[in-house]
Amino acid sequence: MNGKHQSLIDSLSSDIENKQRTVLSANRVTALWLFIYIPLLASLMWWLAPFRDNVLTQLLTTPRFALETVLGFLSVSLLAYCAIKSSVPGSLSRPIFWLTVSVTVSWIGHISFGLYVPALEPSMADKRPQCYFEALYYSVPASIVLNVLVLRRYTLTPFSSGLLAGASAGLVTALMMQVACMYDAYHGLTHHLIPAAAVALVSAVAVYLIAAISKRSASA
Amino acid sequence: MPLHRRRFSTMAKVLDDEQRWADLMRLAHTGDSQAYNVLLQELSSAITAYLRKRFGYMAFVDDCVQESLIAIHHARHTYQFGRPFKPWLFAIVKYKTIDALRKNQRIENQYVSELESDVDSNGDSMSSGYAVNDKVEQQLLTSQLLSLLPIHYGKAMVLTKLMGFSVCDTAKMLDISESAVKQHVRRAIVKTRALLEADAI
Repeated sequence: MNGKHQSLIDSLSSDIENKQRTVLSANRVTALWLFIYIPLLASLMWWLAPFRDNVLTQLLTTPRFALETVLGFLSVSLLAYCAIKSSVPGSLSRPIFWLTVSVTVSWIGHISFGLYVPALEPSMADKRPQCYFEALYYSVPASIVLNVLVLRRYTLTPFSSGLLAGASAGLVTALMMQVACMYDAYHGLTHHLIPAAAVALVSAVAVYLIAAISKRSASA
Repeated sequence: MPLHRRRFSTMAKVLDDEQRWADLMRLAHTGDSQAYNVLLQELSSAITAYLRKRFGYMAFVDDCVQESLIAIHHARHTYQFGRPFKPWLFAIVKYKTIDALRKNQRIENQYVSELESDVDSNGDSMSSGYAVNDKVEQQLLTSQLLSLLPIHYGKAMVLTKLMGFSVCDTAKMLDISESAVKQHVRRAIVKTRALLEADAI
């Protein structure tokens, strides 16, 4: 044992009773995200303005649109899972991280591909008048909740953890907008995905700053 | 002892450490400060050995061990029982090591003061300069991680980050410009990070 650190060890071990163990694992947070938050968000959106009229028929009869929606669900679940995992040291494995990146890129790529070969016939039908702002409003509280869960742990990569949490919160709203609002790839990219990207970026910067401030105050 | 038996006993010790540390952490979570003290003592030794093997016998290692112990203390609630202890531990140690290397302020180190006292007593800065260069060479050869860095990156990093020389002094010693020193140090840190992350613990 290195005797130089004995006094530090003694002072740290005398401070042992102050911390509670985190209860929620990444699996539980992802499950809550999928089975509680997404249905709640969908209900709220439905209550404020009904979803696109023929969305169920479109999902059942258009395989590309169904694939796009499935990719979206996978993407937001994996992003939430990675955000929580990344806030526990050594917990996020590279394969899971790259799987998440691949699924998310595939989903956004699929929507972008719709600019040239649309999955559904572009239409203005059932457009939500304030969809851009709705996408922002719904994402912010979700992003705050995920970021609080991230910061309650001990993230070694605050920027990435914040980005993942913000992306999950932003994209889950974008996904809901893809089924609730008018369908057009260009509209989807500019009015549903750009707010998600903005939320992800703000979330990353916020988590980075909060982590830096708390690190500085802990070392002071 | 035959080689296979020695390997088996090393493996058993590794598994033993893993289980013991997890058990001690479990006790620490219940508020057992004695168990936590023992755990931190064992981790301190393990981290010191890990870093010395990679960076040699430098004061920098002691700073990293201290930073790592504090980080382990703050992150202890994130350790999940039933999951391996070492990936959790070494993720923190690696992060703190890179963080220490990245810090802008120089680490005031024994080598600089030794060199200054040599210069004061002998008035011969050249011989001290050679002595430092010998120490750098020796450092690069003996530490497992530094020996994998390109030689000019390694020298710049050892002089500035591990031995505590200023960029200006390092530039003079290596006979390159100050901006080249900064660039070499930056690249050395990136490479060190990649090497530490590739290191399977």
